[in-house]
Amino acid sequence: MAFPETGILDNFNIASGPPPNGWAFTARDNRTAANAQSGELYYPFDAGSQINSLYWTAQQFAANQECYISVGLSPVTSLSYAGLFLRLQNPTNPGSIDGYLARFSNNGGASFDVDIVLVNSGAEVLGPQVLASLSTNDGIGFSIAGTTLKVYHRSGLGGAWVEIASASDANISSAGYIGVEGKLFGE
Amino acid sequence: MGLNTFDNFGGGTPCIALTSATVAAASGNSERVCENQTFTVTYLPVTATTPVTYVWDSDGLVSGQGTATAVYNWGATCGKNASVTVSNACSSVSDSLAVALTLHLAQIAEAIQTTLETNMTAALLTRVYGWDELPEGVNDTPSLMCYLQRANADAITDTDRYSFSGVRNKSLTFNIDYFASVRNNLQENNERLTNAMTEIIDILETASSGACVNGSGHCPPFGLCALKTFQWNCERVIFENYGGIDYYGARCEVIFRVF
Repeated sequence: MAFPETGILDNFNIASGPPPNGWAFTARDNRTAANAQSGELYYPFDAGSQINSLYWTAQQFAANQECYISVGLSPVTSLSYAGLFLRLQNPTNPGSIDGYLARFSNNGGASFDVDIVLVNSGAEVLGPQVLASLSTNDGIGFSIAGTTLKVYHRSGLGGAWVEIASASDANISSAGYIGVEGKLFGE
Repeated sequence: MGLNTFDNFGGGTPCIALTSATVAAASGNSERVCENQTFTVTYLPVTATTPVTYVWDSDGLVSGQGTATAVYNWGATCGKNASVTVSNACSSVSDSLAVALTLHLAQIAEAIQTTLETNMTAALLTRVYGWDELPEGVNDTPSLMCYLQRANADAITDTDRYSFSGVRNKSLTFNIDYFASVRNNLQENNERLTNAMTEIIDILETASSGACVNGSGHCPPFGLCALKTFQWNCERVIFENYGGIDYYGARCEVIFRVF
């Protein structure tokens, strides 16, 4: 089945924040400084483990859902990281936040470790970890249909979406929010 | 894109395509011509993306366009289909149910009876026997009974069926029995009988003229659009002799031609 099947929800073409209109910080966020400007969601440089984690507040989507985003990460650092949420439950509650997360974690240079985790009290890794090469303007995507989770990658702005990882899990079956998180995508 | 940025976030619920639709007739449908027939459509998968739209074939549609339940009335036409197209944002499926409708003989008897009941003076018609009943006898009230008396069909060579494209001619004879004599009111028999016959004759005449007995405009005989033509005759008859007394009434024969 083609990916994505849904349209763009936000091109961040606003100047507001933090967080920008239509977004709210999840309980995983520990920076609360994401801003939309110049048509992009901007993450101020910071060191350490600080992370911006947001979810799309307009609505919860039906259980079969997807999300995707384009990344800008030139140059990358060893701390560069991006993630996408699906079926996110109780997003602002540190004690009960739950959902599926596709993680892209830098593994040196343009190489990223990609895995799917069940976010609850911790992060239970679902399925094998794979490698992907990310460059600026690449897209990352995440979908779930029933119990099947899939991670996608798009090379550049005009490339085709390619499935690069998958997993199966039945812990969360209901509708939920979608979202995105990241840190230190550049210098 | 710049540094440390995300752009063009998208997502939501992918459209789940419809894979099939199935039209079913409601369990209470009479399957008789000229009567309303109700149909429902269901689709698969049940998880298909909503909203779902329904477009029923407009031929004979009475109500329900845009919904999962439609009511049809095809009049006298027997070979029809209840067809619908179900659509959502990413798919469209259709189904059609062939509907075999028949004109039941009982339907004719009921139609005649209803027409007479509706239009006759109530005092002349205090009891009506249904087509599926047998009266216990002429006991105490003036009564009416309509029933199938005879059916005839032409043999293959009897009529000009070759020049009529093989259409066979069949006639159905229904009797209208009006029981005027009653044991507890013999002295008024003749007046009641005369009045009743007059009313019945008028009603049959109106029905045979194509006018609407119960409404306005041109109507098929007794509202049954499957019936194309009929003839009738009424006569005064003695239904029985009991204890030396004749029990009078009227018997009208109504002969329908069915092609």
